Amino acid sequence: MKRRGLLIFLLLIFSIFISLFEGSVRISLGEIMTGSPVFWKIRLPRIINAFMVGASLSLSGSVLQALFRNPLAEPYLLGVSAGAAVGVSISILLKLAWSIELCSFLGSMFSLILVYKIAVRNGFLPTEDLLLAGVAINALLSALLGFLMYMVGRELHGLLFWMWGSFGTSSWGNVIRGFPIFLFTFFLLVRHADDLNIMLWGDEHALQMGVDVRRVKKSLLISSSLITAISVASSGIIGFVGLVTPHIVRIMLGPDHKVLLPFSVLLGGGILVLADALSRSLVSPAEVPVGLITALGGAPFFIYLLRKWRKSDA
Amino acid sequence: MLEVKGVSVAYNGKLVLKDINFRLEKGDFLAILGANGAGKSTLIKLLSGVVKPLSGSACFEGVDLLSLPPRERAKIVAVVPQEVNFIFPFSVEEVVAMGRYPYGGRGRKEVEWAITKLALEDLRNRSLSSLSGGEFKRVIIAKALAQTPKILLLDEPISHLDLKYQALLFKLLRELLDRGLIIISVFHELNIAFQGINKIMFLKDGEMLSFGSLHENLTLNILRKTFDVDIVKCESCGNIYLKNE
Repeated sequence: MKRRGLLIFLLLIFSIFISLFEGSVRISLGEIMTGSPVFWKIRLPRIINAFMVGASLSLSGSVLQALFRNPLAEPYLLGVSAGAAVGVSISILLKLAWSIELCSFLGSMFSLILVYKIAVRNGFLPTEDLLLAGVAINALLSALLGFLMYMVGRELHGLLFWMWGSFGTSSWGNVIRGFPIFLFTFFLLVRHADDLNIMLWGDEHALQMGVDVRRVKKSLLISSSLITAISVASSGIIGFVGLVTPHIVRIMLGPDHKVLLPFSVLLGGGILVLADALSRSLVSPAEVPVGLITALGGAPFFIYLLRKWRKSDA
Repeated sequence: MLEVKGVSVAYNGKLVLKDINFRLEKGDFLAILGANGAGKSTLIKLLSGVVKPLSGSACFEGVDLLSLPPRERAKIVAVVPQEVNFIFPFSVEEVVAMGRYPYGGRGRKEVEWAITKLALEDLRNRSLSSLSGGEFKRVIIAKALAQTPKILLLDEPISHLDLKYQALLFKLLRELLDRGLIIISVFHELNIAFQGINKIMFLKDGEMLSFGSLHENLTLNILRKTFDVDIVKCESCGNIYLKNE
């Protein structure tokens, strides 16, 4: 168990290490020491941002899977990320630059509640209904997003950025605005770890076991929307990290949220830092959107999970 | 002492429990009998805080259970539901330990005690999803006992259990009753219900037809009225059967 936890740590350190030096500009250790501006102004905030987003999306995925009692829940597949992106584009359209994170949060919260309302049947969320509701909301919001992008006059390239995510514009500004929210939400969620374990019994039995279900649910919904929102506001829509990470941690370290949440942060952060390093070195000096890389890795895993779960349903 | 007074519950404007009144002392084992939809499960849900009453109270040692916050109520009332499902591969031991949630997870000793009492030692590291129906049932009973409740609510406690574990369960419940636990249980199988209980309640369409000690209240008439079927009693064994047409 301890050794497997260590493995996740090592992956994170390996990703950061690769990421520090790789990219359209190779940086040497000497240059970092002598204060290379490419490193300090561009690469370092980019790595921190990628870590924060990977960690946030994985946390959000872990929480949504427990909250919906559904192993296939995650912010991208449920359309929560698309909701956040619509929020962001509305704030750009209205030229409310100060409110990007806020609008992103309202958008993600709105789509999360909408998906829930569409999919819920007598207090249960059947997998098929949840995924179909996610597909529908995603289609609607993505179209809306494209429409808004044309209205604000962004080129196709800008749309690509939002639809597939990128850390190409990461700055210290993103880190300074996002990191405190990420940290706050992380500690809040860790405090809810026991509640999340019990919530896996469903609302009714969780209540019988002593969980204040309404209050906890509200807190979890707001938290997962919030961390999805800051992720999307800083780097667009990045799929599948939130789905894959919690499953890998569960396989390695078990399903207890006291372990799952912190290690999802480490692994999810590591995965996205690595994916970002790939995104800027695969076709260097150009960049591939990082969401393409996570989708290429994550979608097959999604199919595998879907088949596994359908088998156990039958 | 548990005293339920004037409790009514409505779902979507329809009364499903009407003015329920009863009193149980420590060590009482109450069986609730009634046809499907009579309000048995609703009464369990009411006492465990899942549904709110229109009116009435359920006082245990001077505290109204119906207005306690969930965590405090869970220290007094534990529930073994009829059907629950669970996702993700927690181990048996982890699941039983979830019974300590109301106490902030403290109480290793109680968890071990519950595991031993339900004979789960050999299963402790098994994943919940790998268990049979009967094993799963024993785990959720152990989880409820780890909660160290004063009142235990059981909904069909013996479903999925084979005879060996039915016997183990009734012996264990006897022991807990002697220590002052109050048990309220919904049964479908009548003859099993009469083992070990001392109080009985009949519900029909949300109304309490009768309540009291087993011997005084169990009559063929009340059974016929409760279930709308003709019932006969075997004179030699005391068992109750449907009358053959």
